[in-house]
Amino acid sequence: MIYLIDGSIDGIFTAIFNSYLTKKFPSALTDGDVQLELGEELIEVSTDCEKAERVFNKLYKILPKKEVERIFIAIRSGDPAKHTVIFNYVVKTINAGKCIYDKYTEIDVFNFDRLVSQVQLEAHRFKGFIRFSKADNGVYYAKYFPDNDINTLILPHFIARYKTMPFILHDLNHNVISAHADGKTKTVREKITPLDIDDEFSKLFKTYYDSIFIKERSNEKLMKNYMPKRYHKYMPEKNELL
Amino acid sequence: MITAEKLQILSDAAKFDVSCSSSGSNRKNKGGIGNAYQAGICHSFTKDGRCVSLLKLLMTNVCVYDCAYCQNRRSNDTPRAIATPTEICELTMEFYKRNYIEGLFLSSAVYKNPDYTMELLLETVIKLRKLYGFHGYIHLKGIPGADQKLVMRAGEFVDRMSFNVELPSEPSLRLLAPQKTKKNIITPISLLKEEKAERQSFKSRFLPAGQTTQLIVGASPEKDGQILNLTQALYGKFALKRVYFSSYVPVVSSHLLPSEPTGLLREHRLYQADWLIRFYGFKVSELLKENENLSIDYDPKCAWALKHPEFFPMDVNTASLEELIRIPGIGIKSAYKIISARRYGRLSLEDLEKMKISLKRAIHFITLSGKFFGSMKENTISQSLRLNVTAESAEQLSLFSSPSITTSVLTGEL
Repeated sequence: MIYLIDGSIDGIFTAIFNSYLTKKFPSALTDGDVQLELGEELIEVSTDCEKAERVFNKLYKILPKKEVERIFIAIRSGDPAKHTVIFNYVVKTINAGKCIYDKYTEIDVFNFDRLVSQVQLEAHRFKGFIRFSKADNGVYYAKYFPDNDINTLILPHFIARYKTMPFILHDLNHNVISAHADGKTKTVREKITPLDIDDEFSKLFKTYYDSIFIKERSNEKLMKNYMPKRYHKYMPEKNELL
Repeated sequence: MITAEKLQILSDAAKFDVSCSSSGSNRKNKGGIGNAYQAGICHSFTKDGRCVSLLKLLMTNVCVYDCAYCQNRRSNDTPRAIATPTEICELTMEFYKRNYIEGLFLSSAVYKNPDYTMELLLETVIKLRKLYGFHGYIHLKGIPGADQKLVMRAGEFVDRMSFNVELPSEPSLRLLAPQKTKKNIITPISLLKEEKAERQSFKSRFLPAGQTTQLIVGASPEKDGQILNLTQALYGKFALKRVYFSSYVPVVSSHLLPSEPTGLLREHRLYQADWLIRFYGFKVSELLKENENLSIDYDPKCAWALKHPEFFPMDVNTASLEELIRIPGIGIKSAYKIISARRYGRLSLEDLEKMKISLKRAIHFITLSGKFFGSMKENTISQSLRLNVTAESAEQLSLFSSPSITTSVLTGEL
């Protein structure tokens, strides 16, 4: 049996509620196309916020707030298996009746932990790898292509450091765009054509990047371990045309 | 704005300064631009695999000194440049606003004299903080022999300072950097440490990210044992946050210096040992003697374990955290995972595999509830611990930076 859900966290939690009600637990959850095995049943779950809230209330009694927040990080994952992973972790936790976040020998806990770590690692990397370009109107614009839906996760970091600087953070993968100016921030989810800005400083930064390289110690493999190629696209220092 | 040519000269001249880290400070943004991030952030990686965190720059590479190993030595025929405080401030701000960097690492050759140089460096950092409203990370290099008042004043504005020890012994310093003296390097380190401690007692901000230092390995004859004993003393006596090792690369030819580079493996082994001293509870005397070098074939923990069979095998289900991290192949991250997981029940070999804990090395040193799964043959064991050249060369220099933020915070590595 597979549950078809809308992909939201409320959808997953409604599915959990239904499972306890019917005492039937799915082998997987999906929010889209799925290849069904012969004889496998697909059940559509219609999201019900009240059901979801009851599961949340139960969870808040078991888990410290910090652990519940990790579920909201996990849902940002780009991994198609994330719904199943979250479902299994929450069910395991409810069954245990206590917080088992670090019971790593439990496969469902291990998978959930890895899911959260992957999102956090990408968020951390992009805090460093994001590049802004200054547009003619004085706004700093950054586009990037993350695997996970992290735009609003990393936004507070940039607001704290660029308090007085108008900027735009544009996730081209999930079509999320956040703008910050004059102490206000706004996020929209829609497909907007990305900007191409010619910034004189990108060339200067490439000059810097090239000249601090110690050629006697060349180790491109290590560089790529830390900064895999998929991040290079919007980095001026990796732009061979500059 | 600074020209590309000038930037090229002054960053090329700074590239052998290895302390790239932007960690250890929690400076907040007070209405301007920038803040510091406790664990540090890497913004890029150079083709040698090193983290680019700060705009690393010499104010000038015009030098009155003539240190034998240095590419900026007075007698070396190399292009020279000087950047003004305004040029440095503007570039820092523009780079920072584009998220290229975490802040500024400013150093300088000794221009005219130490006081004059230090005054210009101080002017630059004060300008950056006050005039440009910059609250990001600043690492300032101290100029040995500069007036103490200038040095102390700088400590109020920057996050981290460093005076380079340069060489592992006083005789080598006298030989290769005759214009620098041990006293001129150690005195400011000691004074800054005292000042920081004193100010902490009335909560005044002073060098929140502390001090570091750097020394060149392989330009002079000191053994690893001597280098590590010095390192341990620097941590203990002066509360340094990091001691950086820079593997000697011949950039200028001199009859006082080796003509061949030291190679990266020696530096890598020193960093591994340094890690053991700082986070794994090892004393240098446990690892090697003053007149010895670290093993090339085995990493320092493996080498130690092979010499101390009396500690092994260790039972994973009962060993303490301090004991677990002494097992070859078990790092701090894995040890914490083991401690967490075994609160739920005894661990089996399958459990460790499920947790994706690498057992390739550890297997010969552990038991699980009394059961041993490793080999008793010395040959097999040493073979599995021996340096795997391709695997390790990919790991080389990896200790410069730790991209995995969660563990770093957990273990306080940074």
